[in-house]
Amino acid sequence: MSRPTSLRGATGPAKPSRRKVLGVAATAFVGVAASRLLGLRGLDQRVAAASKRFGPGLAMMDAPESYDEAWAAELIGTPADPDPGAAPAATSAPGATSAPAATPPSGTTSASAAPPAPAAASAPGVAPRPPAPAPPAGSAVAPPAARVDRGAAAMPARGASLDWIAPLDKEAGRIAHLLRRTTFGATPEELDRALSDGYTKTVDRLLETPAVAPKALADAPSRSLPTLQQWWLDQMTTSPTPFAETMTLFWSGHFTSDYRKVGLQQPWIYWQNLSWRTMALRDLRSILKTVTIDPAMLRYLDLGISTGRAPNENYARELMELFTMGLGTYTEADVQAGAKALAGWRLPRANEAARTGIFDPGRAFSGTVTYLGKTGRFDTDGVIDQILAQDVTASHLVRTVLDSFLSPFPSSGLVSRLAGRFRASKYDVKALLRDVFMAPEFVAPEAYRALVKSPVELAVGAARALGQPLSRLAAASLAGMGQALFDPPTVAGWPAGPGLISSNTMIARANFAVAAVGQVRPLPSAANAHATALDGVLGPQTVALLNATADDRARWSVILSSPEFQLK
Amino acid sequence: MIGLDRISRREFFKNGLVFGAGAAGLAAGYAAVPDAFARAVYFGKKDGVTNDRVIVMIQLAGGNDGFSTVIPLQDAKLRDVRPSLAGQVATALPLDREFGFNASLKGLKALYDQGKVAVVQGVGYPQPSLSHFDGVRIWETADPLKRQQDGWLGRTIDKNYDSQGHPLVGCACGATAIPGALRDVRATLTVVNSARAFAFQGGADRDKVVGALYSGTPGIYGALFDTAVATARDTVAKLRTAASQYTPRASYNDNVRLAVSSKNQLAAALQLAAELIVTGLGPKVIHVTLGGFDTHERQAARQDSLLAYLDSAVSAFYQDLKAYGMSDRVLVATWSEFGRRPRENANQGTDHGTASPVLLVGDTLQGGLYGRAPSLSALDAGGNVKHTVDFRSVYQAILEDHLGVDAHEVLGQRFDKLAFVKSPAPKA
Repeated sequence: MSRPTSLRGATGPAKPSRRKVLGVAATAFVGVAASRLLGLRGLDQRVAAASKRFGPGLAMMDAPESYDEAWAAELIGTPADPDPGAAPAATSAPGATSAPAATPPSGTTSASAAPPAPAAASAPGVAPRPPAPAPPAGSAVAPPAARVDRGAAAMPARGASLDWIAPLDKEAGRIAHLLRRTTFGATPEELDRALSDGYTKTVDRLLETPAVAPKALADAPSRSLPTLQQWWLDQMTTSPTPFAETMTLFWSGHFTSDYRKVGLQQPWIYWQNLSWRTMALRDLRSILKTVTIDPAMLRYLDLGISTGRAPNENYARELMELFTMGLGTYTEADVQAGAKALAGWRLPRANEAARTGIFDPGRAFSGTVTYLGKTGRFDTDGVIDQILAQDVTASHLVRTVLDSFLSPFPSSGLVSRLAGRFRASKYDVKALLRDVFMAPEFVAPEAYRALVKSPVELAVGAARALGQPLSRLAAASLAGMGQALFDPPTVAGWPAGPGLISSNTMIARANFAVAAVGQVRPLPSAANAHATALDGVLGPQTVALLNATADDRARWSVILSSPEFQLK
Repeated sequence: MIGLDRISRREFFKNGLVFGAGAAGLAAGYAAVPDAFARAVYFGKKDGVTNDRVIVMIQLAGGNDGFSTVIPLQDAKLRDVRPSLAGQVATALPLDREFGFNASLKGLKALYDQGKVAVVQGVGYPQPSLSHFDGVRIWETADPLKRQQDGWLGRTIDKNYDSQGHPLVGCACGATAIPGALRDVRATLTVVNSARAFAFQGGADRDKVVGALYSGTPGIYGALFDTAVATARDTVAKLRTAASQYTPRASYNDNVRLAVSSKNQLAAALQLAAELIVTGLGPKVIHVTLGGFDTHERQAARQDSLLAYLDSAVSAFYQDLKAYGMSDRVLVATWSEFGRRPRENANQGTDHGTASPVLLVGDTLQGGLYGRAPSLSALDAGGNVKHTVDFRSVYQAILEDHLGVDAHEVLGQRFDKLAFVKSPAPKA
């Protein structure tokens, strides 16, 4: 597979000038703008959907500041490089053919003749760019489609309204996409292996390779929070089965517990992490049983101190509202009945070998209750069975999975299709994930960069890209980015998607990138990083700033702070 | 990001000006006034909204128990349903014959005695939700029917103030994410977790590099990213100016003993709020959070320590503003998604409930008790109290009387009037 590199500073004979690269960026802009006019890009709908889903918060912004090469060079601290007459430039997606800027358009998304200046000029605030021949379609310097009218008349005229050109029509692009969402971004070795295996076999390997257990944390009870956080971050960065770590993180955001209430005097929160890793791909029935009697969970949501005589409703409510069925699908009477039926568990004592709660019939409720429409004597298994008998459970779990792995706004058709199969499989989570990764929607252009990397994914992804664990730095930085491990803000877990983006978190992300690059010695070459870390699908600003960099340090810093790297 | 063209395009000068303290570092378009702490008069989109009022909302996250905050002193039923909590009656700080503050609220009791604290009891809404997330959303959007997406404070900003290029009009202090109450698709908001950490590291031009990277970003998150970065850069510049002009004039303390440690540094967040206010950065709406009120077990120890923390931080905030001569423009109000069940559970805790009191602190208030305490004799089917005051009545008074904006426009309807503001915002 050829991964052409054409940015300045990249290895290889062709060393284009910044001017040329900017030319390509402008070219791509004009070309894609034209294709947008032909109706080939649906950002309007995606934005409308996003706006509906995210509601508030999807704020618009001013037109970009204009800048030129000299300005970019000045920012980066490099003198402008004349470098005349270099070869034409085109950054490229893995697997995409590199084409010089002057190549006639090909493929479905190209315009046969690029409208010259007007297309660019129609985007207020974008600096006029030199007219240029139409770009190769699917070429990877991606920016742009035309402006989108964001709808509301009251909306200020802001926003870039360009869409990425998804490289998912290529196997290599699909594989990089898959690994970004399942392994914190592949290392070069993992990527090479997956490319030689192909997409389907890679999915099989992700799902069928048993999780490698993490290195045991000695003296777990006496560990401090940062030690615990670094221990897990080390696993995520270096585990031979990073998908198992992704799933452990996923379940930790869904079946939450926090160290503040659980405490660190007992090893419970550490056990929970081990337990979530082991259960990750099992069927939902056994997962829910594991979760319900997990010591940290018994402590966190108070089931461990609930009794049939005076039930504590905390776990019974969140089990339905957050963990399985979703709000509005049960009544307050169900919460109270569930609390009675679930009562009876207590935490293991230090001299007991069990790593689960202990059931004490004397604390349990012995009468009948009416729970989710059925009257009888329920125990914990009965409660779980009754939850699994509800139609809403499968679709609630499917939406949760899609939120992390596919898109925050899946079609209802996709949800019901996956939910039907999930239930038919007796809630086999592994089968569900296989369905998700093999779904055409997973590799549809709309899914490309449709998810924001969580702070943990960003930090671990950076460490893997730089080839060195950054766990200490990451553990110290994650709270500012909004995702302190073992310490979710609420029982609903960490925020996702737009909830991860604020002025505070963007500073924290940018600062993490600088600090990460500053402490890795030696830095790997960044010559090809735009292709390996960013798929070669770059916006014009990223291209301009990369081309103004003088060394690997500056280049990695731009790569890891770029909008492209924040997305998956 | 503030360009003259935009200011003129938005007819910035038509309706008002920003007077900033020591405005040397402020962008063109601002006029400085010589008095170091002159009142910042924020630009209003509308005539009449050019006053200097500020609202600070404190979220008591998790569901604060009303009966242990404002304690009914004479209700014998309380002892029946709350054997382990009724001891609080003996130590309560009496507000009148019938009600007393939790003993932890010493600072607020002193302010109450000076007429600076209003308590609205029984605040809730019909068909209450006992879900944290539902309840939070309802209070954030001021819409129990859940049709509304934007937060009530976000709508207030959008409809009344020019937040573009002035990100500190709405600010969440001590948070990493935009709280739902502030969210609005048309308002620019800033979020500052820690003032000290709120700066771009990596060299003097790093913020410009990041700004350039996030200009016209493609994709569905592009505008959101770009807005956040632009807001961050703008805020960094303003905070740098402010930091040199502010020294706290009260003692803020986050080193408090809590039964369960706090995720939020409330005192630091309120100190930052004070800094924004006294240095004339023009905040109108500030949101801070104190979590940990979901006291399903061992409530007394947990809630008492949280209330003591709240008391100390709010008292410091009030004293600081007072020392700066600005306590007459700032109103503090608490909110919580719900109160808690009157009957305690087997774990000396309480489960999710319904109505609870709102505490307000500030010089614009007519101090005292408002509303009606919910009855322990008339519980609903779930064993919870019935609310006596709609929470939007509280919002309405904050908006209409304290901020001087059109409450109907924000809330969509009229609610019963509550008259706890004695000094309405001056009309321009």
